[in-house]
Amino acid sequence: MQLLFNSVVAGSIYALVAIGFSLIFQTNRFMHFAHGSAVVFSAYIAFHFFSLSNSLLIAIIATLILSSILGYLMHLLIYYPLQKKKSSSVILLIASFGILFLIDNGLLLYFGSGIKNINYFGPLRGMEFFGALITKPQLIIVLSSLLCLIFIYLLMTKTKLGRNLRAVADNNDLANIMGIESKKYMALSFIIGSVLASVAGVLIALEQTLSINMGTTYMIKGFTGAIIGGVNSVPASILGSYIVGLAENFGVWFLPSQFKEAISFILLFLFLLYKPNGLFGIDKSSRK
Amino acid sequence: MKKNNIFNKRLILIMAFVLLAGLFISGCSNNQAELSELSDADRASLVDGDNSDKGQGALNREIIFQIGAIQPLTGDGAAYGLPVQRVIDQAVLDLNAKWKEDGKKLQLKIYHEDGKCNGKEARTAAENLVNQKGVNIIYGGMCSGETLGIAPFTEENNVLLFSPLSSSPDITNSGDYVFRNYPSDTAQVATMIPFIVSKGVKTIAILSENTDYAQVLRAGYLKQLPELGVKIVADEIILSSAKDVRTEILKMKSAEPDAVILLPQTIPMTGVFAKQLYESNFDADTLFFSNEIVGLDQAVNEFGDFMKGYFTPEVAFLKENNEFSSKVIADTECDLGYYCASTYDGIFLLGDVLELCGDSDTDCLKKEFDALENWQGIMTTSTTFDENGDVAGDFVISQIIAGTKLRVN
Amino acid sequence: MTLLKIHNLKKSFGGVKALNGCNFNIEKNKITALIGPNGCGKSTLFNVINKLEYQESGTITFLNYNISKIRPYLVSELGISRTFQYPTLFENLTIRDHIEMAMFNDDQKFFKSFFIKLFGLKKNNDKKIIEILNLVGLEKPLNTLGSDLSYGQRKLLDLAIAIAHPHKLIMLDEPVAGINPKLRQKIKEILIKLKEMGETIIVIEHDMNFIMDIADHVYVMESGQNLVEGKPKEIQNNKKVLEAYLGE
Repeated sequence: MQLLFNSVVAGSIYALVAIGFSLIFQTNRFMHFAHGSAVVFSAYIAFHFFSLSNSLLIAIIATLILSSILGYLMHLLIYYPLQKKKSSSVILLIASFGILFLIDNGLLLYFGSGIKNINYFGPLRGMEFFGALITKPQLIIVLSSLLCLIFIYLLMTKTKLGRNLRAVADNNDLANIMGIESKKYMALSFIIGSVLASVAGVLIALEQTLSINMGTTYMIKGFTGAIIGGVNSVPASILGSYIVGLAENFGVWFLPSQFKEAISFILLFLFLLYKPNGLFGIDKSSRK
Repeated sequence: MKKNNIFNKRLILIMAFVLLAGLFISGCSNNQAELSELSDADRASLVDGDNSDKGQGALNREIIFQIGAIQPLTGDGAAYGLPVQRVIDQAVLDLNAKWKEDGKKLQLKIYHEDGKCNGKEARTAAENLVNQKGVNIIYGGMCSGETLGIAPFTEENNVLLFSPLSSSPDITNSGDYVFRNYPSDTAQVATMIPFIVSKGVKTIAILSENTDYAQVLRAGYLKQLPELGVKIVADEIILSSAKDVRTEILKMKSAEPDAVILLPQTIPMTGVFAKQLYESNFDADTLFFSNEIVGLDQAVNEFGDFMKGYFTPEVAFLKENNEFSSKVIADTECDLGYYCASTYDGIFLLGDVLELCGDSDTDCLKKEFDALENWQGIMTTSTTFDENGDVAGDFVISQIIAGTKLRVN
Repeated sequence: MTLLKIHNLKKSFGGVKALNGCNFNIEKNKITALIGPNGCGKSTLFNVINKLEYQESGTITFLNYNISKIRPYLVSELGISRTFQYPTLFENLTIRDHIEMAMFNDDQKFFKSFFIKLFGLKKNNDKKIIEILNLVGLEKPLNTLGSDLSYGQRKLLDLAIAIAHPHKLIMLDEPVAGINPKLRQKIKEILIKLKEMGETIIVIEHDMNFIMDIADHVYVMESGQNLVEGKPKEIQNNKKVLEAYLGE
């Protein structure tokens, strides 16, 4: 039971990262690896505003706003000009690495390398719950992620905005011909993705000591989850992320703990080689 | 046709401004906290060697000794690398001031490089220092991995390597020009093991970070504890990038050990271990032992609430009730106990040896290091190097109680 | 009345001149056919009108608006619908989604579409949707995903989308390619009916019998340029057309 819960907690964070990544990939058709930087940016912003105001609410609001602006600016200032010039997805991928380094090093320059800790809850013992020990931060992670996932599901399936986003993700040209201004929806995907990354960042900041390189770690896990589930499908990416969480935690129960990180990579390579559309993803090869 | 003006330039500029304003709302003061507290003039004098014409009359510096310092300035190791850098800078300033006061025409000039607590990076840093800056003395690394990475290069190039903090036993035989004034980990393990056994521990779990330093300690425990009747029931090695070790801790807990040994490399990893162990509700009788990283003041200040009752070792060479050291530590904001003292005194030791030689000739320096006996530091007690460039090790053990450390042996 | 005017349009892909100075006038309430050998630039012309591609030179005027350089979604707003040679749908959206998106163009507006409409509050457009589907003869549940339709059904839905979308001009790219004779006949009847309703249609096709039966005016293209134009019967017997196209 504890293993299962550990997996769910880990998978929840990965899922938040994976949805944003998957949404941006679907609408913009390239891998936005700087998405991990949005996570770490959010975590540091949350820490920063919490330190200033001692109010978690202010920290959360500031993080959501600033992260969404960051996501929009990444699209507008870097990706969109390249897309206008019809740059290939490889060029955009390289640009995303550039943004990743820029943001990570910018954060390092501004915040320094010292220990950053929100420590909002103080020392907490785990609470017993059906045989598993759960802490408040972990419960908040699981519940917040669940709420976000439900919200995204409703947004994508029950609203016209979500439908239009899915249309742009499905077929950009057809969407334009039907009167959807795809450029705006591509930008919106960055905003939504960055907001989800900011939720992940805040949850991580509540639970852990911050470090600059954690964005890359979570990006890899989220990316792996998206690939395993199916990067062309947001629900599949969510499921894939929980599979990564399960694989890591159950895997390390039986294997030496040094293999924990390797498990994600092994899964990633296997799926890229043998099932690149993921377990539940959609084969877009028949698309125009 | 409707004109689309929602995302016009003005809005973009406003959004960019909000983002930047949000980031700088604290007045940009935070990022200065990590930098040295030295004034610009002081900083300039360390690197340029020119503090002679600051309105105090010209000074004719005849001998300028150039050294390089390698410590982790980025990454998790920066949590102690940055304070150590500040201490080095302060020590160099104080040494230069002392020489000036004594009328000696000597000056120490220092270049810092980032070793990132990694052998490969540290070696690159050493190459930069030697090839580009022309130094033939390197002060560092701070992490054992850094020193082990640098040593082959410095040996090849006749460069003196002097580390104030590296403790891996592998450094003992890493070269004729390698010296350190920090005891080998074998001494730490040798101190902890009898103490662990004396607590009646029969079964033990080890949680270690996958770095040179932590693995050497782990190897020591793995080898010696079973010989004394203590069974290793769980042994988990954690990668430095890991943030979630709950499953590994669950494995340890399910083995029901009498005690747990924590062996992190860095203070952030100390936090990861300590917090998640605390949340895992180990049996109240479980004892916790650690390496000296856990007992560093910075770690105890940050994570002391999660480490109640932890037994942690510390080098016994610290001079107690030392007002000067308290002042230096406060000025440089180095809350790392012996690390600060060893680093500070190491500069003065090096200064004394340079003064004896009169230049940076490596063979002369080596000879003087070898000949050193009972050298008394400002903050640390006697230093004597053995034939391998090591110092003897004496450790004391403290217990973390209510956010402070209390000596227990 | 000329609805769409194309003047001296040029478009190249690398060294290949897909459009090499072609000119067309599309009259209102008429079915205009566009024929020519494979690779002569017909689909490229459609893409340039729709702004999926941009011409290098030349002008396109629709309802007296110069649409040479505008964005694709604005072309759609002005009232140009089209279908694709290979029926292009949203694989993960339902038939209902497709028709709704096509019908309610103003709902594509960015902030207006932001508000959530939950169960029970959503306006029911099924009646209107079914009317359109009946017009094209597509008998499938409205919740059917685009990916679950057969080729012929995709053709019909593609056509339904073009019809549902508020338009003044419909562009059909090979509407009867690859479908059975029965369905072909159906589509012919639909187009004739649309014309009787006052629609303006451009059709790209290779099926000459199909063209002869429905077109009011025919343009023949070759190598990105106009070859000849005229009534269907005139084109059918034109020597140049026979050489360039029918004689291959």
